[in-house]
Amino acid sequence: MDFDAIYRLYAPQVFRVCMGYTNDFEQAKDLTQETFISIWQHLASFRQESAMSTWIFRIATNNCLRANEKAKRSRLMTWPPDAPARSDETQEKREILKAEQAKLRWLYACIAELRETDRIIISLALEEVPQPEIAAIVGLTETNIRVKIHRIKERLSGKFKDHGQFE
Amino acid sequence: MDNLNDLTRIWRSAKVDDLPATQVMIGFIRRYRTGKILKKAALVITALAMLSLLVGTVFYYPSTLLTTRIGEGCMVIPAVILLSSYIRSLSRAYRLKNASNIDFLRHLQEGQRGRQRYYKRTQPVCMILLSTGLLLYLFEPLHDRLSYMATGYGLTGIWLCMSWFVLRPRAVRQHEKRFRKTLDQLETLQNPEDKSTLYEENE
Repeated sequence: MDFDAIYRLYAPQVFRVCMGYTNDFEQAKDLTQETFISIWQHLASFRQESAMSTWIFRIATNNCLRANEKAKRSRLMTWPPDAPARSDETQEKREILKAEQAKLRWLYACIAELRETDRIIISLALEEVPQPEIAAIVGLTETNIRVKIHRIKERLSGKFKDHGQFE
Repeated sequence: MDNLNDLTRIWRSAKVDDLPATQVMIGFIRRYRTGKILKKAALVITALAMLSLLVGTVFYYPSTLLTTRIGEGCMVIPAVILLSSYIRSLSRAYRLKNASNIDFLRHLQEGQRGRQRYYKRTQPVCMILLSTGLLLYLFEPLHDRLSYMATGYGLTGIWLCMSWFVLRPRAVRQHEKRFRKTLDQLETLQNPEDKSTLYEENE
C-alpha cells in the first residue's frame, strides 16, 4: 500500500482518535500531521509483524501521549468553525445538524474526563478497531481491554442519558 | 435505541474534510523532514566544530603553561560526554517507533529518569570540568597583566556564578516540576485497574 492510499484511508480515523484524546481541533490536526510524517518516514521499514492499522494507531496514540508529556501547548480548546448554512438546507435539517454537533461536543467533553489510556481505548473502540488490535496498540490483555471498553461505554452512555441526549 | 451504536454514529459525524489533501501533506512532510534534518545536522556539526576547534587549539596553539593544556582537556571531556549522550538519546527514540503504548510510556518514564540523572550528576560534573577548564585556560593569556587578569577573571566569575546559582537551579526546578507531573500521569496510565471516576470527580 502506498502512502497516498494509506493517508486517504487512515487520516480521518487517526484525526478522530487524536480529537478524542485531545478534545482540541487544532492540536488533533497537528497530531494527525505528525503521525503521517512518522508513517511516511518509516513506511519502508514497516516489517508487517503487525497489521498496518495497529502500526498506524500505535504511532498516532504514542504521539498523543508524547504531546501530553511535553505539555507545551496551552490547554485552550479550539473547535472547527460550524459549517455555514446552505441556502437549500431546510430549517429542520439545520436544526438536526446543530443537534448532532452539540452531541459530538458533549461526547468529546465526556471522553476528555477519562484517564489517558481510557481515552485512547474508547477512541479506538468507537473507530471500530478490533479488540485484539487495541490490546496490541495499548499493550494490555484482551480481557482487560474488553472490561475497560464495557465500563467506559456504560459510563459514557449513562452520562449521555443524564444529559438527555438519548431518548 | 442502541446507545453503543449511537455513540459510534456521533463519533463518526466529526468533520474531517479540513484535513490537508495527500499532495499537500507530502509537501508538508518534505519541508518538515528537511527542516528536522537540517536542524539535527546543524546541532551535530556545531558540536563537532566546537570539539574540533578545542582539539585543534590543543595541537596548534603554542601554549607554554601546563594550566592551558589541563584547561583544554577539562573542556574537551564534557563536550565528548554531551555529544555521545545526544547521539544515544536519538538512537533510543528511533528504536521505539513501533513500541506499544505501555512500552512507550516505560520509555518516557526512563527518559525522564535519565534526564533527572543528567541534571543531578552528568551536568554538574560537566559544569565543574568546563568551569575549571575555562579558568585554567584563561590563565595563560591573562597572567601578564594584573588589569587583564582582574577583568577577565571578574567577567568569567560573574558568568560562572550566573550559570551555577541562577540559570542551573532554575532549569533544575523547572525539570523537577515537569518530572513530578509526568510521573503522576504515568502512574495513572500504568494503573491496570479501571478506576475512572467520570462521575465522582464531577458531581
